[in-house]
Amino acid sequence: MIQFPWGGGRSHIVHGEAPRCVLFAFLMLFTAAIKPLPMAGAQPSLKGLGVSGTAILFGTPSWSQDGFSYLQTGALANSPSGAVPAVEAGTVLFTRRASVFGTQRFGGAKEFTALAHDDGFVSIYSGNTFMAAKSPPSGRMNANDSVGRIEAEERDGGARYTVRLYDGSSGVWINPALFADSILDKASPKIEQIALQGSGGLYFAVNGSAPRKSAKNAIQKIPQGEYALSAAVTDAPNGNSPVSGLFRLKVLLNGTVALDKKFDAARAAESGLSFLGLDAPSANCLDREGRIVLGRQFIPRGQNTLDVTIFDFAGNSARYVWSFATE
Amino acid sequence: MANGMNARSSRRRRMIGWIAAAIAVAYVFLAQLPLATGWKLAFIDSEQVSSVAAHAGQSPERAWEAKGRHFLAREDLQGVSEIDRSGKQLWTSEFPSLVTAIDISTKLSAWGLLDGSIHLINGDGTANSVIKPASTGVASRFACLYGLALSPDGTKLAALFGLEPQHFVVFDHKADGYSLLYDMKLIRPVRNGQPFAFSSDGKSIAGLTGDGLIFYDVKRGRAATLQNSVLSGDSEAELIPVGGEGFAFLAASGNERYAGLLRQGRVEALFPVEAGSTGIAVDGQNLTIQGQETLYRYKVESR
Repeated sequence: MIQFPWGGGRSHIVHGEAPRCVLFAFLMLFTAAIKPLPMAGAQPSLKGLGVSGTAILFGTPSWSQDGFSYLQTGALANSPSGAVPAVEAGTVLFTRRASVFGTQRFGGAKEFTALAHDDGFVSIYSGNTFMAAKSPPSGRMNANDSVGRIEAEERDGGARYTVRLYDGSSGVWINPALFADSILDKASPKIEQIALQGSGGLYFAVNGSAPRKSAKNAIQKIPQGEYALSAAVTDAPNGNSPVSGLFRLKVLLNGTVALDKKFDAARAAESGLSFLGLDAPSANCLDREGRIVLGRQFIPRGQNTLDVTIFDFAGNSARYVWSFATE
Repeated sequence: MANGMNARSSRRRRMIGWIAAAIAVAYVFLAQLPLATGWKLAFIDSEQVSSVAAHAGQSPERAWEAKGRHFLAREDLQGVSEIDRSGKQLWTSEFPSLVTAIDISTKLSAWGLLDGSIHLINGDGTANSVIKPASTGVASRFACLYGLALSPDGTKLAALFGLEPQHFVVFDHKADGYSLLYDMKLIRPVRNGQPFAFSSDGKSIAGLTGDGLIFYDVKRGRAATLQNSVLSGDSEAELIPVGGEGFAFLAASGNERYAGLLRQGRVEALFPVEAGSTGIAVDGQNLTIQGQETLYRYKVESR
């Protein structure tokens, strides 16, 4: 069992405890590096995440042609051999394989495998070309056993699958980066926009856009009041480097910390997924233009400065300062 | 004197022998008579799929149709939206985990999840209720849904739930929500989705489990399993209600395909169909099996 330093031996991650979560994950990885832990169930070990073409997608917005907008929970891993390894020993909980009757069912031909681990975690493996392996008669699989295969996709020849981690004991989806080997992400994330949406309207500053280049340092006037603060951010790959994913968002208002949130876990609520402490579903974390909603903030009268800094999981950061007057 | 007694005893033994033989013959004869009227499938005709394809296209592309309703699955299988025939989105819902089992009625939809919860959604997309079998005393080491069936009026819900052990459970809707009505532990678990359905009259439930075909009599509140090599947890099947109390099925066993009828806990008909058969549909008492290029129509008749 993974022994978390809180919660009586059961894993338990909630928002607001994010710093402890990261510290714990770091300590676990550090401890594991120097001495194997004599635990009943070893912690999940995600292979194939530190190579080119791989990415942590946790917290990344997704828009589909079918009209869905939501935040993702998985990581895109690479498998040169095509075999998809189990992250930890476990029991096959569910296998969805393509129907012999064709694709006339919910979700079409999508396949996935879910493994339940002894420590309460569940790992889920899927992908566009993922083919779930047949469950062994005992239902048990060892770490690195193949839970399925993935075919290389034609566009770049890479064979990638998505892996997701669910902590069944606490009812939270975990950012897979917390259990990945070192991800050599050398590219910084980017802040493209900061926006304030309130009853008085929508106000935003665009970073690096030629027509609005001056907006970064321009002083705008907005009415005093409470606003939903959102930001358009990306963590795109630089060449072949892997993407460690957006992890921390910190906002200073006039030099004081107004928000400091992490994409460490998403709570599984009855109405969906709750990221950044916002109510489920995860679509609540996205505004109409697809910016990530960070939370609500009262903007007082006077001269104000919003200082937004974002970090990816590898520690790369980007900062954007927006000054404006409130009347 | 002794000879007379022996003769009487011998006649009595012969008499008893004849009576026993007569009873045996009568039993064998009566056992051949059906106790109730059975069902059979009578072949009507077949039609090339290409000729009926022109009439298709009424359901939106990519959508999954059930009970005349159309649904789209989110890429990660953690969300659903219902659309109308024009493709307009009616409502969208996000789930806390992946969808592993579904059943749809005209006014309600039931979504079983990998985390062991069942989410009931009203026809307008509003949340109806969430059922967690593990919270109702159904104990399994792992919680997950493998099959779901909603009664036509939405007042009852059957589910194949959990691992170690796996359970067949039935819930009943009361004033304060759904409560556990029946729980049957199964010996051999399945780890993939299985077909479950209520009969049209709502009086029985049929479904596939690792222990075989399961029947549940709603009125008596009892379930029974039936072993059948074609209808086992290892095979894939589609199961849909036909008539008031029966079910039609299309099953895949290896490379073979079989169709048939189930009723009152019995397999009433079972016969091989085209190996490439991909679906089964019911319209009243008529049954259509979709082959690769041909539709085969049958009629359900009394024997």
